[in-house]
Amino acid sequence: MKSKRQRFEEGFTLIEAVIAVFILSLGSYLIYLGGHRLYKGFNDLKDRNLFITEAAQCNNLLKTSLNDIRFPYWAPSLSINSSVDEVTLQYLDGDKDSTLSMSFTENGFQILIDEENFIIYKTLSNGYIAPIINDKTITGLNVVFISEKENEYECKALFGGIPIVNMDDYE
Amino acid sequence: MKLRKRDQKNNKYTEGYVLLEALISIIILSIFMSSIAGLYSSMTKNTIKAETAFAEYLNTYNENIDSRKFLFYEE
Repeated sequence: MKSKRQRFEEGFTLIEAVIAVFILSLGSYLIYLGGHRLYKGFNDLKDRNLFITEAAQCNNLLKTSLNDIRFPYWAPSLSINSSVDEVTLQYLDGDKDSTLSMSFTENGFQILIDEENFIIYKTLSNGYIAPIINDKTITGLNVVFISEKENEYECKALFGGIPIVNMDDYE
Repeated sequence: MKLRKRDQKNNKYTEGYVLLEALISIIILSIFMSSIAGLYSSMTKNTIKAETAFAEYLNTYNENIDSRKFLFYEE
């Protein structure tokens, strides 16, 4: 009978080596699966956090920017469909030539102030813009951002000034 | 259960207990993995908290806007 020492010095048989390789590859695959899921989970969390941060920032900017829109009493009423991707508003700071545009593009939600200054929120690429209507007059905008999990965040903002006279009645 | 002792040689790296070392490494790995799981769950909780807080803030603000009355004409 072989001694214990002799057995250790002989090395591994082919079957032992194959079994060892199989166990190692199984372990590696499990580690890969776990690591992949963890990486995906952390990435998902990062995206969700970025979405909330950008939505909150955009919400503040919308409220400030729309507050600067002041329609004079002679301006005609705005006409915006129930849900659109793009809106251009005149009378930024009461000036007819100054405009404020906002649109949902493939690159994200874009706010363009006066065709020079613009900001793009990359994660807010999905959503729509709807008017807030009071007594047949549009008093503000409701910008809805839709997250990847289909959660809707409604950011409502009112204009700083709205027409006092309804032009339809005035004519 | 009897711990199997490694083949005795005059080399200090081959001495010791195999099972004990395996158990210790498994315990260390478990602690490491549970700390990562704890970190992940706390991050998820924080994200859900932030999402809920933002949604609640928007709801309150929107209710305020909806309840506002506009007087377009002089009565």
